[in-house]
Amino acid sequence: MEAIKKEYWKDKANKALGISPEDARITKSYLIVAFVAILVGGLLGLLQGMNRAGILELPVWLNYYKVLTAHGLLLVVVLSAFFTIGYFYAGLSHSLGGLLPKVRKMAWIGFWMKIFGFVLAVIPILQGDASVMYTFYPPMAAAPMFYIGLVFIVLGVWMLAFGAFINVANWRKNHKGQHIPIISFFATGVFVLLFFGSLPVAIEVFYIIPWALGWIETINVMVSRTLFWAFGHTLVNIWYMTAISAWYVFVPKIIDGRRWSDLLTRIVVIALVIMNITGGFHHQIIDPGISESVKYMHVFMSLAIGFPSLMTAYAMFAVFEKTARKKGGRGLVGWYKKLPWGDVRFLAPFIAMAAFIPAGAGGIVQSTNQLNQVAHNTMWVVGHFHLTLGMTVVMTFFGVSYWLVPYVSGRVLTKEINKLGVIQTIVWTIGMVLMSGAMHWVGLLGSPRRTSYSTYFDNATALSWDPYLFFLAIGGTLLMIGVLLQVYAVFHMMFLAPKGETEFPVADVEEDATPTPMWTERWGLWIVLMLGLVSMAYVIPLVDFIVNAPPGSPPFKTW
Amino acid sequence: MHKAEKIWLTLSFGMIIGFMLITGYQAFAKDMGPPSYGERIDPQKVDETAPFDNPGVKQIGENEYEVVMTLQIFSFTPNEIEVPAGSTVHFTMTSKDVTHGFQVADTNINAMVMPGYISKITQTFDEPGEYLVLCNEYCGSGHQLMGTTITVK
Amino acid sequence: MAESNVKKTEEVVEEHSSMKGTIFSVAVVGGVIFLTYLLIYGLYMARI
Repeated sequence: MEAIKKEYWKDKANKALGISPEDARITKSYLIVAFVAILVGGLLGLLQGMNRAGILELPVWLNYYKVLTAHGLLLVVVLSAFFTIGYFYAGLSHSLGGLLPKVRKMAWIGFWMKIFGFVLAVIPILQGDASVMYTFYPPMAAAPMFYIGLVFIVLGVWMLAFGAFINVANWRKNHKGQHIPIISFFATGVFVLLFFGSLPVAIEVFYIIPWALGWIETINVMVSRTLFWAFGHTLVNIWYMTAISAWYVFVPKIIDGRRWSDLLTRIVVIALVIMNITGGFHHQIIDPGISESVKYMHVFMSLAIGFPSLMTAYAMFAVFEKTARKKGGRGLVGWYKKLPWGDVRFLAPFIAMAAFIPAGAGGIVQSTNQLNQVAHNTMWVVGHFHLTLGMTVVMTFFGVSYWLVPYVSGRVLTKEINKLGVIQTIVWTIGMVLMSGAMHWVGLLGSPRRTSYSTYFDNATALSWDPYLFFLAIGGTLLMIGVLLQVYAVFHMMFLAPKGETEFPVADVEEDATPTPMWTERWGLWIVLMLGLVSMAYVIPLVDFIVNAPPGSPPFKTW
Repeated sequence: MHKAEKIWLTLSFGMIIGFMLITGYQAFAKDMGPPSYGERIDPQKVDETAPFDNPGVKQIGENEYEVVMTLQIFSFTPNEIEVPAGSTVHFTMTSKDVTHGFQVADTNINAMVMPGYISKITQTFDEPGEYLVLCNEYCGSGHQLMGTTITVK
Repeated sequence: MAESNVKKTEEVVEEHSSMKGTIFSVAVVGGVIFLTYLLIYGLYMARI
């Protein structure tokens, strides 16, 4: 009884006083790494855009593929993961009454493991010994140090996942019969996926290392590739889930509205957790050695992930409309005028959501079985993930930064920085629309991804792509300006903005909301269902690849 | 859940199921599925294994050709293929080293070509012209030079 | 006069809880998905 009272008091104190300095330091450190990563990764992206447009020939020491590998790793592995962790750890701290001292320690160990792993991975990339892209498909073999670095990154992620589980479990023990606060519910889902999603890649890297070191001669390429994508696409959906957590939990508060149905929100989280990992297979629709029926089943599983997103689309519009109508909004679309367009904390996530409409549509269509042949490995795909990650996810992160950074820094968002944020959002939107639009189109015409500028010996078809590729340079330049504005804003809010209190803007549920049933809290069951679905998806093909394996492949260094 | 939401979810997801049914029908009834051939091969002995010991273009019927092709950094063997307009061409491919992608612009030819596996894909070339063939999976420093043409006369 | 006032209030209440904007918006989402499908499917069929 005493303990419960104490906990309760801590919750209240936390809400009143804001985040503790120790917890704030964790989130700040993760955010700093994330935004430094986007600064460097963005610059590398600009170099590629210039090269692809035929404007810039990269020097030999700064080879296109080296730059691309680093760009991918910085933005796909560093930016997104560090932001996700910093953001959710702030959410755990806020909603669970502070992080446990032990969890705080784990967060720091995880932080340094990830940094150490990243340094190990980046050294061979810079030396030109690991130009293997973030997918590192065997039998291309990087220097062993690259894979050892990846191991540390994964171990760091696990440390953070377990830290989150420990904190949530502790809270549940002290709050029997209560629902995990919504932001921690999202965090639990994300960390469950981070853990289970990174297991396959851990297994893959675990047997790549002895092969890269020369201790074993050959490797099974299809098993590696399949394990990679079981991880690769889960990772994508983890960021997406992080982004939608902000849409469901914080955006309604920023527009002075109420949260969407708590039950339906939790169902979306559960559905995404259960169905995610099996989605990775749609990267292998045109691979040899997988039967058409297995592929068809997988396409169905991939598209099933669209269902919670369709629920989200409805939920977001409904929250907006309800809020706007309360403020006197009228008409079929006229009520949109009542939304706070001048507030970057709303504008950026709103455009992020809007971008997910074509991004999701493109995703659905390109993974519809043989239609994948139109898009696979073309620039279309690059355009697709710049819409999904570069806009939907990253713009949500940007929008979040305008309250999260002041919150953890004990400062406030000033009018000037808000204005800067609005300009940044517009610059970023124009840049991404131009770049990703051109990428989509030129991809349909046949231009391949992950290829430095080439006319294919002055082939007429390849030359006809040039005008579209030019937009990559224009868009890339705008995006670089956007990166500079954003990074300036973040560091300003962290170190220079006036001191003050910023709210952690968790929206309330509707006053007349029906209570959420307790079955949503059965995480054990969700994990069992997830593992069941994963086995249904992967046991048949993996067993086939292992039992009917061709002779393996020796390592190649082809760059 | 609101009634409008139920209707939306039914219609929108129903539409996606509809897409699946169309592609499923084409894949299984019309044999238009994605390239999935699965025969295995020793990736270190491609040159000694039939049919890749003799790569090239073979006429196998009226207006029907088989192209036996190996992919290796950074080229296609055979290079520069010529077929008459209206021919159906069956490509049988494997990789001698890393993972490659076989793509022909302006067609539906798009298949992964991996060491240890034989990939097959078929296309009918009705329109005369020069088709650009390229590798669409990053395969090394000369990846951007891995291209050739198919001439349809 | 009184009657029209009542009518007006009713209209306001109706506007207040109306979901037509949401329905319109998700219909746009559905439309985008359908058009994207038409584009890619059309291209696929044209290239057979």
